[in-house]
Amino acid sequence: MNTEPELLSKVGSICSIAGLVVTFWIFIKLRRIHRSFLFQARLPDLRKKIRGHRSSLSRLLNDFPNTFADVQIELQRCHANLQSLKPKLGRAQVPSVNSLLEQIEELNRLSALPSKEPVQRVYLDLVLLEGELDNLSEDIKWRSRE
Amino acid sequence: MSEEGRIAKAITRLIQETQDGQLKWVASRPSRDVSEGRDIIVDSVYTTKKDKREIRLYPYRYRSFMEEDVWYWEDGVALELADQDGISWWRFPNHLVIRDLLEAVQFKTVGVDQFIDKLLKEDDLPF
Repeated sequence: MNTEPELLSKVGSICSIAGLVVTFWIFIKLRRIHRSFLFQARLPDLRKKIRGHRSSLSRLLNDFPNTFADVQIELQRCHANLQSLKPKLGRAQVPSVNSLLEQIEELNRLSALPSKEPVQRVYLDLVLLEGELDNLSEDIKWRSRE
Repeated sequence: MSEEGRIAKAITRLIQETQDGQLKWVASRPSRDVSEGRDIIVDSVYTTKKDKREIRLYPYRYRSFMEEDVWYWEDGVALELADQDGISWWRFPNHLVIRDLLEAVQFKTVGVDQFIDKLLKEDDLPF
């Protein structure tokens, strides 16, 4: 049979373990809220920037390869914004951003004039990413109403 | 891939083929059926053929009403695909890449690159 101090000690141990679990749970929740808040605050601006890169690339591709130097500058700007976007995204969108970052890095490493296709592929992936961001933005709107 | 993604990809293909010169577009004045039954203003229509189907693209303006007698002009771009007899038309869902397609088509049909090349080749440039 347990004595009173032993019982209290056991209850104390259970409570401290439960406290640890709750602290961990709160930590995860806070991180999610922080990420969601940051994402909601920055998403419209980043979407606008991605849209701008997509639109500029399309315009520059009309007169490619005369516009190659401008394409490279645009891709570098786009790369910087994608890197800023990446940590704010959920797991589902990260592969699309990673693929775009890799494609742009590969294009930037080229010193010779590339063909139009890899730039057109970046354009297409930007179009698809924009769609994903639009859907995500709608999801966030609904989630915040719940 | 979502339906929206498939359509965006298809329109992007049209843009690429236009930029590569594989798809030739012709500019013309709009026929009556373009704006029939719709309160829109269309100045020019661009048409092309792909896989024996006619595709037409046109920018348009329409009045957007805030109140009964207060309105402002808004613009849009429509991309339509004809049936095999060229009688009925299906309109692509509104998507931002349609504007990119219009720009690519206008660039090619107006001949901007040739015009700029010709200007730059002129010998009597003072710089």
